[in-house]
Amino acid sequence: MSENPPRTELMGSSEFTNHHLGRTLEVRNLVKSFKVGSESFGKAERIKAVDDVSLFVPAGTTMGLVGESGSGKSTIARLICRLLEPDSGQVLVDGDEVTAGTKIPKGYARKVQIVFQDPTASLNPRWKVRRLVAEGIRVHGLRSRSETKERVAELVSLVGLPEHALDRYPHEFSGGQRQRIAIARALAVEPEVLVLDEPVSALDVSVQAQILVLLQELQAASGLTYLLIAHDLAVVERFCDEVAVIESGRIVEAGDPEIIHSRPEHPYTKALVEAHPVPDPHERTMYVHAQDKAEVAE
Amino acid sequence: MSDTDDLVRIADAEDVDVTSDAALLGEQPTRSWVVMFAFAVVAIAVFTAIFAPALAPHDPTAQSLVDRLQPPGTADHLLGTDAIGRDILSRIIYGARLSLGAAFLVATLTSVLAVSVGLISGYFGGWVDTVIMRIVDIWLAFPGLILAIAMVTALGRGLDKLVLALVLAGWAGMARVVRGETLQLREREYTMSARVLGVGKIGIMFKHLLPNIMPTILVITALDIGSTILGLASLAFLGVGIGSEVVTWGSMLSEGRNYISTAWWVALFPGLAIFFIVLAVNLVGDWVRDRYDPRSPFRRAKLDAATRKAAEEQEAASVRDAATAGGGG
Repeated sequence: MSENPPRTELMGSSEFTNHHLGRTLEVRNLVKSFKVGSESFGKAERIKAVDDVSLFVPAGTTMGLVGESGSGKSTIARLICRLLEPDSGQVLVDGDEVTAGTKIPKGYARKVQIVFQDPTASLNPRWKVRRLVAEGIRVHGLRSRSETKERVAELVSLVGLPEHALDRYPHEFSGGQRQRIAIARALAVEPEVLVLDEPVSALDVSVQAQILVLLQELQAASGLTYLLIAHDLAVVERFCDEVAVIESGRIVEAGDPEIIHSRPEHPYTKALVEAHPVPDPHERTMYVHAQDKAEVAE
Repeated sequence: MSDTDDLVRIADAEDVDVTSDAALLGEQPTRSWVVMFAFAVVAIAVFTAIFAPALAPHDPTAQSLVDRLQPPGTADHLLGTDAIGRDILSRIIYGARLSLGAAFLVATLTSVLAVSVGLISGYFGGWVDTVIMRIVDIWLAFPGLILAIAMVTALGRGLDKLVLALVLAGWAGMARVVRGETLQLREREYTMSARVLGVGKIGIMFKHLLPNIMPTILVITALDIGSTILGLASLAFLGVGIGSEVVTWGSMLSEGRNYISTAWWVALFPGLAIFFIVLAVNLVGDWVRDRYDPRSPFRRAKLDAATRKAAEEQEAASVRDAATAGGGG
């Protein structure tokens, strides 16, 4: 997926995206504002949480969306999943257009799924894994009863959980395992786009890498399109094909993750990069020296 | 430090029951026998109500002016007789039927109504919520019993109307609690995940929200039964709602009031019956709350211990995860 066509050519040509790419996620001029303060005292103000955001994520690639808390990145996730109604703008998934005020196309729910940050809160505590994962299949009537059973077992092993996990409750699992269950549930409806809303932020550092690797493997196997929301540029750098930096509801910088990380242009991006802790400076210097020597030797 | 260790140890022992809950808070072990007593009283009352015809020595409505106002212990009348010679023991046994039967019915119907209204109000929000909650506000401004009396007066006499009146008098408070819980759970990620999966509103309300509100509903209902029994007795005492053909503890108390100085037993025994059943039901309600209400201190102590245990397990699991991943990669 390194040879993506330049973004500018694709923007605004839905004909092209509809028929030739499929599985793409496109967001056009999305706006969402929230009321702040109490209306009854005549003080109601509206703040724009998402202000004219456009994104294009080609099929099978990952777009990182980075920003501080309150920057509007989770609001974008919710708008894409139709948990919130946008004020204006469109979301296009594989040619299904969702515009403000229109009815959600049938089957849209199958195309876009979300994985939330906190897997403890995102799994109904009273349901066993079997039922949790099967819910989407059941709701959309995708398979017969026996097929569903097979499919659920398949999904659970796909995300790297043992078979006996099926008859357990979410609280019996570790954070990483719970996130695997949440991923299996999202995959059950065979979505095309997966919105990952800080999927590893609530997990132990050791487990974070495993979940990211799992997500990468799933993408390689089935060509899923990801929108990864994060506050940490380092996570995004290794995982994404493209990165968009968001500040106060606006995209301030977008492009190749490595370039953004090494040569940020916008002051906000610079601040984000600098906010990331650099490991032991002494070690870092030694590492740089070693690299220089190697280059000289060559 | 050693206190927390104890908590963990208690949670680790699988038998986390009333006794160990009490131990967690350093309560006296008497608590468990109080609960036993309460359960026993309720069990006896339910048993009595069901098998009243077999248990009662006399017809509760049979009058015998020759035997009027017999004191307790008289041959054939263990608890004595009332002013027109009816056997008090038999009347108390039959009275349990109305007290318990109607109370359970009222509690069940109240829960159903309150849960429906609360779920709809909380889940749909917006103007629906505003309208329903203003109605609840107005409703709660009236004292429940006065409201019930007014409604019985308007609806007319009869057991069904009495039950209806008590349900209508009691639903509002519970509806508000259910609405509050719904508001909270609606924003939970599992509810949102279900919405993204395409689950309909009804599905989300009944499959995701209701099961998670159930413990709260159970606790409120259990605590409500006691006050419902008392409410029924009060209405019967005031002579509102049911005719004298139905035997109730409240009406027995009312009739006995006239003879309190000369024949104390006529009023005392139905009074004791009301006292003990309400006490027992409330104790059972407390026990239910301790066990199932996440906000109860007993429950919280237990949960804290459980969380700590889960954290340890998670640590162990992540070590395992890492080991497996390392082996695979």
